[in-house]
Amino acid sequence: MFSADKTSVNSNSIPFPVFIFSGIIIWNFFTNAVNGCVSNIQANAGIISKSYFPRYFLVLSPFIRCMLDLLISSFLLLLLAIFTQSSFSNVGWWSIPMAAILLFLTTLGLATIATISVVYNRHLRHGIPMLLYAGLFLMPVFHYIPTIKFAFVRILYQANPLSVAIRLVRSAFGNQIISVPEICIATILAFSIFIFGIIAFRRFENTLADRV
Amino acid sequence: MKAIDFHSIGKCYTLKNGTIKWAIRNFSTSILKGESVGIIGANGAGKSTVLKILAGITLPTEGEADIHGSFSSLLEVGTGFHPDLSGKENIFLNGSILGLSKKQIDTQLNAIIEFSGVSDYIDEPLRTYSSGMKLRLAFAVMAHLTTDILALDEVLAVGDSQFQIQCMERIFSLKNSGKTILFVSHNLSAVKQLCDRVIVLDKGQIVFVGKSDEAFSFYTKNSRTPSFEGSKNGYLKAIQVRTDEKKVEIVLSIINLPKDNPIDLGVNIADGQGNALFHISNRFVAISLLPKNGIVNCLLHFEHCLKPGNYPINVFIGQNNEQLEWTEFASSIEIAPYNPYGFHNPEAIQASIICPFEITQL
Repeated sequence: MFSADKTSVNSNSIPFPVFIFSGIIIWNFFTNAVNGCVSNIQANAGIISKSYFPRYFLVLSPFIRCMLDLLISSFLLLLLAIFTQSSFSNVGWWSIPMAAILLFLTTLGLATIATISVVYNRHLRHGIPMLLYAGLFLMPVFHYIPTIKFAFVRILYQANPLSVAIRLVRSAFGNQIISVPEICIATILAFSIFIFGIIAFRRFENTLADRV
Repeated sequence: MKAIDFHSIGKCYTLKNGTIKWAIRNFSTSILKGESVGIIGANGAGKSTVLKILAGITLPTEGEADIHGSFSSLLEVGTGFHPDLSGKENIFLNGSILGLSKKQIDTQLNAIIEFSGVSDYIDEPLRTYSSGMKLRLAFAVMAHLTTDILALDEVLAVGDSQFQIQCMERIFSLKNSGKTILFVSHNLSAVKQLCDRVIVLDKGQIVFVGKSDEAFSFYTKNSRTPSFEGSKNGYLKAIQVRTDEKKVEIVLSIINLPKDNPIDLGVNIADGQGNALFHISNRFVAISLLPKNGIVNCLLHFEHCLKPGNYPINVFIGQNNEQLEWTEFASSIEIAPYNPYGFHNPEAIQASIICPFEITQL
């Protein structure tokens, strides 16, 4: 699967290493943040049940740590792009900040939801890494969007905030095409996930110490 | 001036099978500024739940608690200690979790290090500390909290006696400096020394509020030891323990003895850690206990020589040099807190038994 894509990558759009690395750093950020939040709440169960502090720190601290990681790897991506003599398209000025917003909102929302579900059911913590691993192949991390027959699945696949974020970043280094409706759907989805995460967290933080 | 107001606090938990358990209910009281209040009660009475609600760790299901003034709670010694940080860094970490600002810790850092007694190792990572050293460091941070109201949960249950004395003295000086203290403990004599007023909890309800002496006598009278329902082999039917200031009396009733031959009766008094303290037997004093129709009732008593605490009683019954019965924890002797030595700090004296003595200057 990984090597097959090399042929499908249009050589005059984006260098293959940049294509792969941009996908990997975004996906790594997402999985590390979600896993980090889930394990953080369990690692700190002792403090949670013995002292009061604003509970959103439990989600924010691994998230911010992963943001720093992402910052470093973005710098490496830039070096890689220069090294492989990528073309920098003008789209980058808005596509990269847009990608960051989509990525951060979605990650924070999903990390919160994952954390809550693990506190409610401990067994889920074995399932979440598996789901994330499956996502690695479902998202366009290593490959382009394949042709999908069913419109609904295709839209979900193409327009989900993570895949749009990956493609937005790539569009800064080559002529990837993302349609405006895709970005709109992704933005709506990202905000919904984020708001849902916040609402769920606010309902849940008061009983956290009883459940953890 | 009130420091804390509890307005009929209740906290319930729903179990997996749908039953609702109230950890605490209708808890209403107010605590005045500068007052030290103790909360005592058996395990599961809801003591820690009160503190957790007060600290904001969990929300009450009903009612609310108002706190007037700055508040910090110490439900566990060394909350948030990180093994890879140095002792000094952990002071900052733990202090900020307990509600001290960096500035406040900076000004008190030397005092905290000095108090902890681990100044030589303060720059070493915490993982290299012994558990006692961690404890000292944690308590040192706690002792320098500057908040008006302190909630302490079982903080003195740990540490060697020297350090416990140091902690107790520190808590006293905090008290004397006008801080409001809410103290939850099983250590009745520590509560007695410290607290002006004691709340007794039972199954989530306040059952008594009053002066510490009255509260203790209420508590010890009402704390039920599991009722004795006959021994394993069926020979020891009942055992009763009575105590007063002078003596301890144990009444035994033995039944179903196979023969009416003289029996050997041994009563073993142990301490809370399971060490046998002393043994009382009719054989030592050559008193024969002769059953009538297989029944012996007897009273044995000894001079009150026990310090405050709980003393399990083990009973041996034998006949014709054969063991009929050995019952561990048939009952227990409950000694309410009192000051056996008349010394200002009887906790500091590590002895199990008080024996009469005289001292003559030669």
